Amino acid sequence: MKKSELNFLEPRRQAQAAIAIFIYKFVVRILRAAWPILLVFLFRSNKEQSNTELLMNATVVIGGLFSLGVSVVAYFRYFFHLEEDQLVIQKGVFNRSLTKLPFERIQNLYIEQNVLHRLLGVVSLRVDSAGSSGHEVTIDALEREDAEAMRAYVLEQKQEEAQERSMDPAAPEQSAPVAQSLVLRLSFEDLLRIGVTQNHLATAGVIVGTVFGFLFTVAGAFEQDLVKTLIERWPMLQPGFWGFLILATLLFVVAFFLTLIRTVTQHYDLQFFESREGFQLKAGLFNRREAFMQKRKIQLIRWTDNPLRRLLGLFRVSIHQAISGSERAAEQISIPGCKRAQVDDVVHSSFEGSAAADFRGHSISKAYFIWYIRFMLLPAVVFGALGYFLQEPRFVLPAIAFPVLGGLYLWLYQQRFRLWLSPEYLKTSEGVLGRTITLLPVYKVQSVRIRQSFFQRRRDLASVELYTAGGSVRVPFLPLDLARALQDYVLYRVESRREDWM
Amino acid sequence: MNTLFQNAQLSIEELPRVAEVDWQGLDKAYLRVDLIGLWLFRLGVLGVFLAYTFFVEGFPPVVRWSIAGLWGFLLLLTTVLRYLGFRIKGYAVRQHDLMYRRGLLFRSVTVVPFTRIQHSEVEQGVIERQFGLSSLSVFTAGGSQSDLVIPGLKREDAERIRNFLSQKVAADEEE
Repeated sequence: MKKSELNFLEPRRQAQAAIAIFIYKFVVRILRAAWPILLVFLFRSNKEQSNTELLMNATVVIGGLFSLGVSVVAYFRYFFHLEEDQLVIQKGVFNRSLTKLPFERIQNLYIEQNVLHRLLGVVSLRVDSAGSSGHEVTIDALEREDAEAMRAYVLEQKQEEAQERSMDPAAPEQSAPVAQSLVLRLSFEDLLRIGVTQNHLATAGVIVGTVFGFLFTVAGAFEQDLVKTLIERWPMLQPGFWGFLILATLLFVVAFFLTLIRTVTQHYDLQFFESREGFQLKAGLFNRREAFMQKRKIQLIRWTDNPLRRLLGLFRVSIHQAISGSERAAEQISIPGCKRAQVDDVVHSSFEGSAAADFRGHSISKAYFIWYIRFMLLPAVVFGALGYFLQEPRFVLPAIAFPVLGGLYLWLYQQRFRLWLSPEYLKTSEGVLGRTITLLPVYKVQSVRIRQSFFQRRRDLASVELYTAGGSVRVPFLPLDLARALQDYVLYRVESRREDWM
Repeated sequence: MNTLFQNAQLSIEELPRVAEVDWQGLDKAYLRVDLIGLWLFRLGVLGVFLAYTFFVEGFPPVVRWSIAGLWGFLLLLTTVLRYLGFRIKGYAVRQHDLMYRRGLLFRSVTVVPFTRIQHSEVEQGVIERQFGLSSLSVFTAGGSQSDLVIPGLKREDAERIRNFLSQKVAADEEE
């Protein structure tokens, strides 16, 4: 350990496999940007090239080779090392850049492997610093033991720093053994169960979007109406009841298998460990990912089920910590297929005292329904008017479905929403078909917002939004005095004590 | 019924209340900055649209002028709303937090405790500069949703608040 630590004190290059990874990244980038052009180039009918075309192609090829060279040079000009209290990275081919990332800013270090990494036997180390995005650093290729040593070293330094700062006499001794216990390991059977109970409709939506995008791009590249050609060739694609039914069935089957495959590859051999300090997650078939999360950095925990999962008693638990850019929410630790007892275990060991918290429940106002039902009535009126003027009975169905189904959904949502409060914890429970429960310690909150529309002001209601560094909670349509009391209390709780919250 | 939780160890009644704060209005010149920005942008878009419709042959004039008319009407409506909404906009600096209020139809009050501020910046747009105004941006950790921007401050005021905030934040880290 000591020896490999020393390795990082001098500026050094990445493992040589990084060259291959740089090239791979480059090829992927090119393919992603230029695939329609390449497609046209491969399949065009006219094989002869005009001079201008030749010139253009030559430019493209030379440009490609040039950027390829740049990728290779980039490897030789990329150096990193650790200083006493910061990670330093020098890189850049034309413009040299020097990035210094103090350990105290580092939120977490992730060890990741995609297929190429696994073939080359290296890992990549992603260093996440909370706050402004773009201040994130990835070291593309490292030997596994180096990456692990580096991660251990940085986390250890952070720990010491934190203890020096807080001078907490109750701080645990350093030399305690790092015992890990396995909380959950998913077997192949578990994975199938989770895959089958995923939200397949969401995948179907993504497929429809992708296919349309693809047709659009290809049609643009070939300058032809591809859809028309397709329909001429396969008459069953013609608009109509049967065509629709066939397409819909096909879509669902494809979506089903795609989600299943994605679930299995993403969570393959998932292992979830707990130690006194935090949690560790390892998962993935092709892209293997390891994440470590310190308990004291956890901002909020969310667990979700859906109607199918409820039958099996399964939850997806996601653990949120401070992370740069809220759009990266997907990269939080997220574990599907947890049983009730495992959920409780994770929650109670992350948030001490939450098991014994004395929660009081609050409902939201029925005005929630009255306000949002208007937005369901609008499409109903539009469809109704269309049906009436065009004499089309087909429009009657959506005209009725929108307010009825939408209204039912809104009513159930309002009925089932609960806000639970105790002096130290805040919990919400929401959802109509499935249920999402969010729990956070009050002192983790970093900003509170009360919103009131003109509609809510007339009725003395307000919506409260609580933001933490790892995600937010929104409670709609609370009575105004309750909302204000909540805001005042949360601020009091955050401001009256100094705690290490991130 | 509106006790927050059972077994409360402190009286919720005695907490400092956000609702009772004295709001500090934005500088009067900011209304002009806001409206100039609004009109420049909206008229610019209208100009591009009109130029485009004159350029395309056979664009029905009825459609052109009804869209332009609607756009103009919306511009006037927004102007009135911004004008009325200006009185609502305001900020307050309390002992431990910074607050900002806005919104005529959809009102919001955002509060960020000093201990949760990562850093703060004073910025000045082109139009703001002509009126000697600045905006104060306050950044928290994680996503950008909880960040706070207070526009329409006199340059000196913005600097003063920023300095006050950074002293507060530094003092926190000392302890």
